[in-house]
Amino acid sequence: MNELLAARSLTTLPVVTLGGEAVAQVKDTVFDAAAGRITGFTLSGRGLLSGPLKQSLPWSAVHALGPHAVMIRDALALQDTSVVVARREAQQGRVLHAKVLTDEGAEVGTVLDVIVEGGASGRVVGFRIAAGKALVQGSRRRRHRVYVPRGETLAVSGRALVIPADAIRYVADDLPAFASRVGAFRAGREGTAS
Amino acid sequence: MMLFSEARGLPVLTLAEAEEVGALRSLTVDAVSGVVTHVRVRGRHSRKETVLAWGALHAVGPDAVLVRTTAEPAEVPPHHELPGLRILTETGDTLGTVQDVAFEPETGRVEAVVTAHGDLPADQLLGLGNYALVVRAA
Repeated sequence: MNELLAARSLTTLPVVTLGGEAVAQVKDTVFDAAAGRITGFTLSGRGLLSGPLKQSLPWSAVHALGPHAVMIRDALALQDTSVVVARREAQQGRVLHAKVLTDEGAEVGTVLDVIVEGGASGRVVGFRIAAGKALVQGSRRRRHRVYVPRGETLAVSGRALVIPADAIRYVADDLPAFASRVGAFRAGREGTAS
Repeated sequence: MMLFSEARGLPVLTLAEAEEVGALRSLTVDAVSGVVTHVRVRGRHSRKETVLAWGALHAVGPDAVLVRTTAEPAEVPPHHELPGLRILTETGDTLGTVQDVAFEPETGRVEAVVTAHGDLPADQLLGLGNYALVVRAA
């Protein structure tokens, strides 16, 4: 499986052509309505004083998403922002701070960040959440931030998202641990389906 | 086999007159074909930089570079200095920076890019630009 990346960490990532030229940097990551995958990126110019660009990057033009750069084939891949952002029904801003509920009706926390898979898939694999008391017992003074995997069937509205109840058995405290939990979660799901 | 670091600073002389043009300053590489296409020579006195096509060179030896002509080519591609440049894989991961480049002095063919993580064979190179050298993921 590819490396996992937090969507917030993608901001300021350089957009680099396979020819080695940096053409822009990521401003924001745009997701589809079901928060299932990345549909593109809005861009800003590179450097301290450059503002947002009129052009954006649709996911179809991305060669690969990595921890140090978004690779694209060439600069012609950039499109007018309206093409990418027209599909902005549930962009990151609407998933962030949404309540996370299990399909059994328990509230487990609120979304802090979206975790995506690196590479060419653009798939959302889970969320970083501020855990509620139901999920993590212990000191109330410590604010718990954990990662939960996304179920195959995930319901999202602007205010809440619903994950399968068994997903909370696969929470992790950091990204490397989460990567292996996601693998186990998927394997477990496939096991019950067959 | 020769390294860019060994080639840098070599005196450049004309073959016919044995006149010193200057010192070899840098080598321009075409990453897609994996060859050195041009060399840059800085004059000893004038400090002027001259670009010479690889085809204008007669020999690149251990102690000097001999050239047939000092006429500049009509079209000069943009130069990207390889040593010190960051390396990205096509999957967007970083592989450190270029430390040196090994090439064949007879043909100008690039053999390998030397990095802190080991040598990258020339057939892994995908592109070379102002930001990075892009290589195929191993």
